[in-house]
Amino acid sequence: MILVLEFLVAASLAACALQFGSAWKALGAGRQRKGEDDGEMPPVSILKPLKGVDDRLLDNLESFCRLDYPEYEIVFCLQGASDPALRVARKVKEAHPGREISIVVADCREGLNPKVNNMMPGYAAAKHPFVLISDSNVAPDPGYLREAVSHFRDPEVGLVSHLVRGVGARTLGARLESQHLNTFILPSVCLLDRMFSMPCVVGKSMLMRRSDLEALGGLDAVKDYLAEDYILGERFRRAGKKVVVSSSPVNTVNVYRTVRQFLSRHARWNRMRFSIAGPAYFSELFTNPVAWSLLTVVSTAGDGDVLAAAGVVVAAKASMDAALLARLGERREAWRAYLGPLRDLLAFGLWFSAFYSRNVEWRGRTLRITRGSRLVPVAETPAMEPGTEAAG
Amino acid sequence: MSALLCDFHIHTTWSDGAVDLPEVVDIYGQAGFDVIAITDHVYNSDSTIGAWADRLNKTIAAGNFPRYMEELREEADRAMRRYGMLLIPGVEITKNYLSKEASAHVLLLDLQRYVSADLPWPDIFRDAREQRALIVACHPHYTDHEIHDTLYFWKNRQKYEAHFDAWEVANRTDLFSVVSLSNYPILANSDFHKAHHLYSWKTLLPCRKDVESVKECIRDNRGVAITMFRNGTARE
Repeated sequence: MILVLEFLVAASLAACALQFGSAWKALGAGRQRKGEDDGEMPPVSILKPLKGVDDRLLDNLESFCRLDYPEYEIVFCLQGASDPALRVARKVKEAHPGREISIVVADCREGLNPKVNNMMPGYAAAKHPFVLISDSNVAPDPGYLREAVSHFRDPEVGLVSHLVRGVGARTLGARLESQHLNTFILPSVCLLDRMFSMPCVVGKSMLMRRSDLEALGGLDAVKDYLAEDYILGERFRRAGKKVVVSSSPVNTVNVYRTVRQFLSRHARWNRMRFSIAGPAYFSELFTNPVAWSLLTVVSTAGDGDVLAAAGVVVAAKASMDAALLARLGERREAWRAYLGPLRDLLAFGLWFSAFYSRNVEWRGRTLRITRGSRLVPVAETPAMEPGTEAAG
Repeated sequence: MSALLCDFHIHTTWSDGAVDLPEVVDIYGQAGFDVIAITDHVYNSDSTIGAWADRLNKTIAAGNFPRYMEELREEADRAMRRYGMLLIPGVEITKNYLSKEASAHVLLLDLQRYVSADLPWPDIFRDAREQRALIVACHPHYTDHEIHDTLYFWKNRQKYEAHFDAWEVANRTDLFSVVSLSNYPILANSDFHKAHHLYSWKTLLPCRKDVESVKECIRDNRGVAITMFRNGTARE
């Protein structure tokens, strides 16, 4: 038993080192790429699905009005006039009369995925040959669109997604969220992309030609999938198009997220990843040396040598986290790498939540996440079932 | 003209709020609000809470009132410049006693000079009136959140109702139907102390965005609406 645990600790630490190395290299490449000449810059429609007021929503939306790009339109998509984000979207439009901004409010219920439903009317109204789908909590640098479009100089490229960097945290929940994005999600995406040639599309930023998307069935083709980003990436690949994960990370802003919100979101993401990856989901257990170290300490009843070794493992993991945060430009957050072990232990517990329930609740409908993240209505239910949570 | 989205009951780290004043301005401005009032506590010194608040510098008092107003003015300028949001200076006169029947809180909006919570209520009202401040009875009935209930004015409403320009018909997630049934002029506010209190009851005013128009609209109370400011519903 102890040998097995020790193996798991060593294997997990090695996997973390690989993740760290991949992320370090990718982020270096991203820095170099920013300085490159960009070539042709076709007009782009930016779809912004809005739902409620995310932290720093006004700043996030205005950052898209300051992109250094010759021609683009912004389409704010909302499902109802009572959404508080509508007021913010209107203020942004008023404050930037020189920008081409449209606000599309339509209660579309074509599919089962709320985000896709939200975007479908805006997508129909968008007019440019390139479409960028960008979440409402994304706040890019001015050069973001220029950099993203530059990947299309390779005619085989069909879809460009981005690494995401969590920024702006002021609460414990938001810090855990940012650290999870920066020290687990980002390095995992880099490892899959660089070592296994499995580009992992993150829905926070997806740029594609409208003609390519239409050829794959448009948004209609993914309206019943929870992980529409992953499905789009897969379909582009199967169609023989390259899927690129840009190494220039895009900022996602989480300021006041609570610990409960952090746990809830990542329990849902785990269910989604399990439904997509199947048995490969178990490989995630090999990315958590801190949890395995703790289990080893517990199973040896606090043996001194084991305790010391566990301390070294925790310090090594925290050091990698700190270095990665610094590499991401989050130097002020790097000293908070002490939160890493807490995040690691919470993430270990959350990993099991994928097996607890495969349901999500949306607008009074209980939906089951089936294989490949396809959503299936279970029943019309008046109340939430145990283990069911809001999607979004 | 679309209705103004307003919150007239907000605390900062000047008293017992968890968020400092500039950050409060950013939270509301980023969420698209049109009018806010900052109303930090002025505690009565003859209560344990008031005495501790004074000792910990967590109350507005005669000594720090000028600095409080100065920071409010600076932030009001910034709020208007950056967000087009009107910030009204105010305080919450806070008289806490062991008995909830004796406890009462009152918002004074657009206040210019310090008003002590140690004064008797009639003197407080007179002082506020002289400054042309708006007087609002806050959470006047039983509440469901963590605050100590403050029922004094509700229990003595016949005696005091003429002093109030409005009553809170809703506070954070509580709704006081007795207030609306009494046909009193109404407001709905968050009683903001923490960032997540942004999602709570709010007021919609059909008027222009300047202090005098807002005050007149509240006094007149015609067309005033309340709204639950939510970040999505449980079913979404």
